[in-house]
Amino acid sequence: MPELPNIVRERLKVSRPTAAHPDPDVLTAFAERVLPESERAVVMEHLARCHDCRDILALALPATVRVETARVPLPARSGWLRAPVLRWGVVAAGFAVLVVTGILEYPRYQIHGYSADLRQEKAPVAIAPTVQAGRASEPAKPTPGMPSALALSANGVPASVSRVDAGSVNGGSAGSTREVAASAVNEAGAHSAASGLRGPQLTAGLPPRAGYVGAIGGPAKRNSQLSQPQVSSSAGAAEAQSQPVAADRLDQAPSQPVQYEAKNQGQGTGQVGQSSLDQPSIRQSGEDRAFMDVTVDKAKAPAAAPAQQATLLAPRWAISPTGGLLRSFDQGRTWAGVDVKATFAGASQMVMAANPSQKYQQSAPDSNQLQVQNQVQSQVQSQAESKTVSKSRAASAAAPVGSTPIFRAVSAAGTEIWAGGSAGVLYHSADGGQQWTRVLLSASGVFSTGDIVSIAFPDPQHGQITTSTQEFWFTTDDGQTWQKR
Amino acid sequence: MVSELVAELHAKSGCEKVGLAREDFVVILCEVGGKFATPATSETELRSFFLALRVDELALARACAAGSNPAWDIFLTRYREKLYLSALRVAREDSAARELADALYADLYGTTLRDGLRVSKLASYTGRGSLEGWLRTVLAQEYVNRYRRTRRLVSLDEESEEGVQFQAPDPEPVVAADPRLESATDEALAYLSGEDRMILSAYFLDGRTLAEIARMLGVHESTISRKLDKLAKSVRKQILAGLSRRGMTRRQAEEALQVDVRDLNLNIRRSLTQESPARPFSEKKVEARAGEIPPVGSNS
Repeated sequence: MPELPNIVRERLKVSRPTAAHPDPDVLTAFAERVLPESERAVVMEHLARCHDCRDILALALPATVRVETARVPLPARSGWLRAPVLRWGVVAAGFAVLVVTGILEYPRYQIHGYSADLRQEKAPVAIAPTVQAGRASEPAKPTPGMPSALALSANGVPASVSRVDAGSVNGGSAGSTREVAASAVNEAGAHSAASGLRGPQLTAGLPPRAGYVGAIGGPAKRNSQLSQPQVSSSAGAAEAQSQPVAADRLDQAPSQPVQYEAKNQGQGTGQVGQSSLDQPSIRQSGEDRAFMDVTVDKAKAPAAAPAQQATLLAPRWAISPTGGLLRSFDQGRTWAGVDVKATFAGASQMVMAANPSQKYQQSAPDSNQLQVQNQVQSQVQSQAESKTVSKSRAASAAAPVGSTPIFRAVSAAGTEIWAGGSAGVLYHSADGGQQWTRVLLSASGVFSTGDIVSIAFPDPQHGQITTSTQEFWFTTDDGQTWQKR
Repeated sequence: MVSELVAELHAKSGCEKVGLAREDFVVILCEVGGKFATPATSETELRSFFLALRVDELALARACAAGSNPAWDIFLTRYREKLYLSALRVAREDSAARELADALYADLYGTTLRDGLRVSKLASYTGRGSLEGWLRTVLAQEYVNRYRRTRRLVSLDEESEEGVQFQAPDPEPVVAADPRLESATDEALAYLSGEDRMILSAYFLDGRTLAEIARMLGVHESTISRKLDKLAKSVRKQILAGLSRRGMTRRQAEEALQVDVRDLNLNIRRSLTQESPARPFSEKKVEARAGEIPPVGSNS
């Protein structure tokens, strides 16, 4: 605890405010930090001198979501730690250790990444002439013994290299040996897939992200194409036929946590990058190893991720005094504002109807619904919309122009976040707050415009929303449809 | 441009939902603008001021003040429970919290009549901060005023023994160790910004925690902790420098700072009463009625 000379305390006590007490309005605006700087300075000067106004300001603070720390006197620091030079020295030393670790690890990461890229680029090019050469002397179909015989040695080179060499390539160069082996691996992999075998040489060679993305559609095609050179050769009809099999394998790849999907969708390059949720490098490097090192034990890599995901995917949510949406990744120690409009998902907005037969729509709504939606918006924006609105206009109409949502209630269950507020504003995120969807509650064509004051999801399927106009909306299918009670 | 601004504000306010006519809303905007604007206020500042207003809550509050039933329905649904919870946080006791909340509701509803018109506290809300925050502030103000009135009653016997009620309030301490120390301290404190002095006062005089002060100022707790450390050292350094300028040696200056002023003949209680000088005895005998003692924050 810092020490202050008693004379200073006494002189602080006797100082008198020079201006009149601020209005409750001004004090509130001060607490909510919406006063202009000049006015804030005047109020601050008054607060420095007026004990009662400080009391009022402190009492008027909203209930905190954080645990307040008690005013406990800190233990006296030992002599040597008191010196700021030593303190900063310790910090600098820790920083230096981190930098050195990064410098040491980075080249290794680069090498792995480069070699993986190299395999990816060289395989389709080098295989073609070599395989053709090999086929000149040997039929292109794999030997029956190949699938069971194929295994990978510790250095990642298929053990069947020598067998293939002996069987198919006569006097081939050392350089072509590896490519042939790769071709053999690919062919054998295709047959392994066909026979139901799942060896590390096949699945470990696939990037887990490709399989996962493939499972949900969307960029699956692109990623499967990206992965195809790894699994199968692009040269020759026989190898091309193995590609559909490899694509099937993509679908059977074990599922990854939602955060990983969002990360790759956002990047769109299929490369492993840093997620906005600051996923630790442990998980990233584990998956990279699964991708780059074909000898990795695939069972281990995904097992490590979910446990960490369970810890990482549990942010806390709260509403600020000014109606902003807050998220904390460190158990409430620090909070950051979430701008739902910045991550607005765009035209895939939907109208939730009270009629249960109308399902949750993810595609662009039809023209009739667009018209209803736009009519509601026109009350606020005074815009006339035609029936043939484009997707972009529908997106802009769905998002209120120039107004920041004022939230009053939030409910979070895992990565399913529901946030509602004034004038019926309701947003939903299925990915922990990465992207948001505006949801409009309507019954018989009338939209709910009351303030949403409560959102409750006792379990993932069942939820209830209460508005200030005493409307009660409930869902039994995780928010796919809402009904008004 | 003015009509566009008014139209935009009117659209955001949702006046019709709360039973407030557009013309009345425009009058309210003019009143609020009049309180803020000065001859030096530019058009841009005025526009920014209006755009930052919470016009929806302003419309609701003023509609309630005017007695609109739909507005009251909305107000009670939104704020009744929150107000009670805030009162509970302030008063820390259920019955006192209910009494505080009910008293405030009576003021908000407007049980007082002036010139035949109902006077509601909601009519003074101007929309600069949130309505919920304003309600908490008014609640806190009411509590502080009540506490001040009650506190004087509790210490009545003790004060009458000492005869404090007959003394004129004297804001200056009786004796200082060294007048040079006082002036050097005042000089060092004047050098600080209002925020710095507010932090020092809140921590050392009011006994607020770092977290509370951080929330009052909207910063992180660690910011306040660092600032306090820095301020305590800087004030001490400034005082020592001031004493040196006033002819003291370094050693003398440090010794002067070490002296505990509380050991001297100093009336601390008088120094503590910053805004509320001691009232005559007769006034304390009865519980103060509303309006007799000017509460904090009133402009009357």
